[in-house]
Amino acid sequence: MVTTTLHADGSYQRQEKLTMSSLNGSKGFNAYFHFRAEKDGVKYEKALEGDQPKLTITRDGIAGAKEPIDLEVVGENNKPLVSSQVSVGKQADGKILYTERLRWLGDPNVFNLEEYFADQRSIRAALPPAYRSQKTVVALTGASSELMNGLLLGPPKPYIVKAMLNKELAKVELLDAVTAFLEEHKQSWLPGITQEQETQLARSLLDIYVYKDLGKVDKSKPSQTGEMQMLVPLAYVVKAPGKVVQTNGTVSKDGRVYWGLVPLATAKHDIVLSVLCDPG
Amino acid sequence: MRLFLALLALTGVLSGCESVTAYTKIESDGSFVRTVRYSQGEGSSPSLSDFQRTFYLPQNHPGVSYRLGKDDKEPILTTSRRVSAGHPMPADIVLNDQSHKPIVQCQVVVQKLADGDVAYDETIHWLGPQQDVAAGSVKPMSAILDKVLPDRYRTKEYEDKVGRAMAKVLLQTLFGPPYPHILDAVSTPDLFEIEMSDALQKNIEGPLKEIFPDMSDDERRQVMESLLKLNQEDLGKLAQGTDKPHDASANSMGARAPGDEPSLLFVVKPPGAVVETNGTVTSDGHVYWSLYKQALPYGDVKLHLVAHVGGSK
Repeated sequence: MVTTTLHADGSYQRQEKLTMSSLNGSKGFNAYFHFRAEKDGVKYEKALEGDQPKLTITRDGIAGAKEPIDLEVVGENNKPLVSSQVSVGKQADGKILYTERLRWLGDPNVFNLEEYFADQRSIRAALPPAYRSQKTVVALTGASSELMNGLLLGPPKPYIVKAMLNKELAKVELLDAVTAFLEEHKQSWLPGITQEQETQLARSLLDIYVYKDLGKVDKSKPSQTGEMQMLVPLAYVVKAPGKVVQTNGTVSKDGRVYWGLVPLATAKHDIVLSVLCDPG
Repeated sequence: MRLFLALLALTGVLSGCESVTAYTKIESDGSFVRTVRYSQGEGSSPSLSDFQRTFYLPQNHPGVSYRLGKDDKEPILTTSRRVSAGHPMPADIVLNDQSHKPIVQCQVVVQKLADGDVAYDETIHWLGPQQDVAAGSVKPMSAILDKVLPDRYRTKEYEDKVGRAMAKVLLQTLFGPPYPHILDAVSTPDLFEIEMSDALQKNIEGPLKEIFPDMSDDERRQVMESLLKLNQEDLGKLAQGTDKPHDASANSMGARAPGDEPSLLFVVKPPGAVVETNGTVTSDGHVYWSLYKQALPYGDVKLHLVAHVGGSK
């Protein structure tokens, strides 16, 4: 978990808590993460949480300073999968802007074009005949793919593991999210679509993106640590002074802003987490 | 998309597990169709005797149809029945414990109200031993409460009431209904503390209002905030009804990991707009509740909704 505590003058404290499964503890944190060396104000604290090794890395940051990359999640052969870079600045009106850019450094073809065109064909077939124009198919494929990426991989929260722990609940919740998405876009892409057609299309989109592949999975294959790292849950938390004016994260009742995601969420494009706060 | 599904399967979390989904479609006259879908999880054989180990399935009930089949790799048993308006329906979903004895029983009642609206009430009965808070487990909470409770409430009776309410709310927040946050503990463990704290704050408010009906909002807020200061170990003891340190490997309620426990899902399609519910309403007007049986040892759980039938209200 990466926690950034912003101060009213735009300076901040950064804390990265890294945990490892006790089974993998012998490999050391460097096998899973790249992080800053313990110098120039960067402090380490090692501990055990239950039987899990934990490393807490703390440093202070100055408003507006250009910071190097704090953290990388590492995949196969110790190659980085995703990098995380923070920027905090005080604006002319006194508000503080926090941004965190997450960038994919892994295989650029992890989502390939062949898959995209296969999705296009499936979506064309799922649409009622009156809506099968290339323009509609392209627009719906692009937007629904983005939607499913966010829903399953985050931010704001990765649904993917939860969906497998309780498939029946996931079906209802994902269907609700896809139905709400179609409701929002139907005026522009699917004018006049009936309720029944819309429900059927929502179910088809879930089949295309989630369910039709589950049956093909070979569960007998052993897991690869490098591959598993693509799905390691990442959490970012910001404690902001004063009032949160704008954010793309979730605000808790006590005012913390948070995001959850897995590294694979960044594979299509950078993800930028942001908070604008008014310290008052 | 395909890649990460394959990756996920490698983690082992795709292992099959039992589930029950009850779908209740209510008509405007109060009649309804109840369809229950039992799943045994992947890999098991599609035989009735397999289902009977996890679920008690009464046979030869008039008007109940049974269908045994497969959904992808999962054996599925579907039961369906139509219930006329005003007719009582016997308890239909029964979950067995590990020794195959009934431990959870569900009873649905649909009523047409005097103003024409329709009410759905489902009670999920716990048939196992009733859990109570252990005297020792309330102590840390009492110490905190002593500092904020107004003098008129500073008695053992009230402390026990708050202890029981907190234990029940803790279990329902973790295991549902309406939503089992225990799933987040597995999928986003680092955010679990934040989300649980928010959910507890929301869920404890109602029970505190019942216990302290004449308490001011400010007094109640202070009590609520103080309860949220309990550390995780003390919360664990309270929820498990024990004053011994929490031992994750020796769960007093026989809980397994969420992926291994039978999940219960109730979905209702009401005949009109929902005007009152303790469930979650979807964008197309369904209402749902999700839970695991570990929510129940402190008492029955009730699912409730009222739907408006006819014109605007």
